[in-house]
Amino acid sequence: MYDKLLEINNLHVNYKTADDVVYAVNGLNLSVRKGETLGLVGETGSGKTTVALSILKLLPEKIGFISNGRIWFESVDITKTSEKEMRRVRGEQISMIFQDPMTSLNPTIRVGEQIAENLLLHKKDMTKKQISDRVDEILRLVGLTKEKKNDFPHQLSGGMKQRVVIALALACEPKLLLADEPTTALDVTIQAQVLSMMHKLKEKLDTSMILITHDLGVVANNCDRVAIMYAGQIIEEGNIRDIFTAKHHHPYTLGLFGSIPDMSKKTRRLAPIDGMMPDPTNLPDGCHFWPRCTDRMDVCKMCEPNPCYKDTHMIKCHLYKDLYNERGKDYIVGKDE
Amino acid sequence: MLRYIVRRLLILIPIVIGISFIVFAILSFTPGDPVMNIVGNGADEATYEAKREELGLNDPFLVRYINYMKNVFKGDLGKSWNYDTKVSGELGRTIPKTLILAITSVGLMLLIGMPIGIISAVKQYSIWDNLSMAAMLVLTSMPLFWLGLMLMLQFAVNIKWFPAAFPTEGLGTIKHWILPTVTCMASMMAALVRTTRSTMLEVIRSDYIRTAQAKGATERSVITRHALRNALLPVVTLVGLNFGLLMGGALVTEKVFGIYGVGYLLVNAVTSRDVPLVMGSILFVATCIGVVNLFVDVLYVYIDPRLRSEYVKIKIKSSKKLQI
Repeated sequence: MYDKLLEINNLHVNYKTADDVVYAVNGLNLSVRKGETLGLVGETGSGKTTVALSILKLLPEKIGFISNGRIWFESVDITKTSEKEMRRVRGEQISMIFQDPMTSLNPTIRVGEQIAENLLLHKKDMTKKQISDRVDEILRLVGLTKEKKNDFPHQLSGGMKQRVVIALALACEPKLLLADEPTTALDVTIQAQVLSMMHKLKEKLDTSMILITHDLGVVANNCDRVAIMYAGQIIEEGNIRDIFTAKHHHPYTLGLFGSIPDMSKKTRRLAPIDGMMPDPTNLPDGCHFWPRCTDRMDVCKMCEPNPCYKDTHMIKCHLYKDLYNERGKDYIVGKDE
Repeated sequence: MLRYIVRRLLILIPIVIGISFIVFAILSFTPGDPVMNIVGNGADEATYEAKREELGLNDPFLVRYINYMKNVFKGDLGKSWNYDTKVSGELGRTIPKTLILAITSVGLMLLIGMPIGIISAVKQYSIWDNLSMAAMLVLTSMPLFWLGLMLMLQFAVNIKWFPAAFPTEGLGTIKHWILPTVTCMASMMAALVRTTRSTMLEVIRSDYIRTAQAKGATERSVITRHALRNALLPVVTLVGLNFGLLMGGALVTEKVFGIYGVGYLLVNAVTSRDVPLVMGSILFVATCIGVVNLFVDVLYVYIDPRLRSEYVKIKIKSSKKLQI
């Protein structure tokens, strides 16, 4: 039933500044199937937003470059498409919900017109009346009254603005929705509302979604599959069951879970991961996580681990080298080596 | 909105009165004798005294000020002490020239400066951007009078495209206005280009521009529809300020090209201590600056809808006051 909608192969993205090259994404592999929600999880600075911007080819001009790799969107290689064709893809096929609803809307244009602009750009055969009806409809879908279309963004609350941003992204019923931390700027009650609304809309319009977040709770409730990102790479990937209930995890994932409060245990403090994200201008050799890893071995410092698979579950770590071998046994090598 | 405008115009009245008082006081208390200027050094005591009495200079300062203002409110700006002509007539001769110079140079500045600023921002660090920034630096660092003289020397004297001297009567022809307009525009233009460029740069990096790009809008539409309006506020402020200043006369330009505008008139009046003439010019300039500022404020509200709610607040406040 699932077909691949988006496939990213060995993506490398660099930001070139005056003195340094920032290696933001380093050999990322990712795929999204039709109708699926993929959660992309990682710390600030792990390259999540860069991946989303690369898919839309909206990396900052003259600074951000896709240096290697392919992004296939329905048998079209986005890295090779021209700007003109990309414009047809943006907004209609792939659209993006940006991080901060407060600044993502143009303050001088009425929200209705901002939503209508999307339709005007892509649905050339629609009449004015149809467009205005569609704007009303999409506003109703995101839970706003149609009178709100005459408001300017500053007249709306944060939650309403986020709804408008979502309406804007969904106006043309895109095939793929990139939601970049859509709820980070909102408080918890609105967060839940917005997420459940997004979920409903996704089901209704049958869109695929990449949900970028650093909130594992959000992931657990909304995603079919999860990819965990660290220093520009996917270090663990699997369906929701693999990530939340499987026995084996990447040490970084364990660290992430360790930093969520657990109500069933009696601890006075959370256990954060020691250290900082490596400097993306100067990444460590071998596995990028080894300087912070509690289970590091000598091999980690030398060579980059290959992805290890067990059914749908992928871990990129030397610890699980033989996790999925021909005997089907899941034993751990390395610890006693 | 109309109420707001009327309110602002009413506020303008005490402001202008205040300015007139300060200027009148300065003129009255500065040392030196205006009467001596008029009657000449060799005049005898009787003529001198008669003139003093005629001009009302023997009255106390406040009486003189109140008498002057009474006449102003009757619509009489008095007679120039030096020329013995009506001040309103002098202003009527000079204001059109100042207005023409201000409108043409501000208009031309907008027409040329805005596109340069926008293109510089959009194509930041391109050859075009570097060139225009260098050109603007040259323009700012050039003294206005020198530029005026050089233009005159080149275009009026050497290749004789334009006349060098401005006619003493009438408003001249288009040819007369080209060199003064260019000179007057030059210094303001640099500021305009830089302001447009920097605000545009700020705006095109903002999130909502990225949203517009993510919708699939063309670069042209992103700039004209989404960026320009948001970048306009500082530009409007700058243009408003410049226009207000120009209403006080672009003195250097007027002097260099011999245009008898308000600035010229005002400076001549001040040096010869011609109180009615100075006062008349100052009242005109102050009113103009006030009106231009009001115009700019109204324009703000049209450009930025966020300010509309601010304006609503003013409205609510004022209506509350009225109820009390």
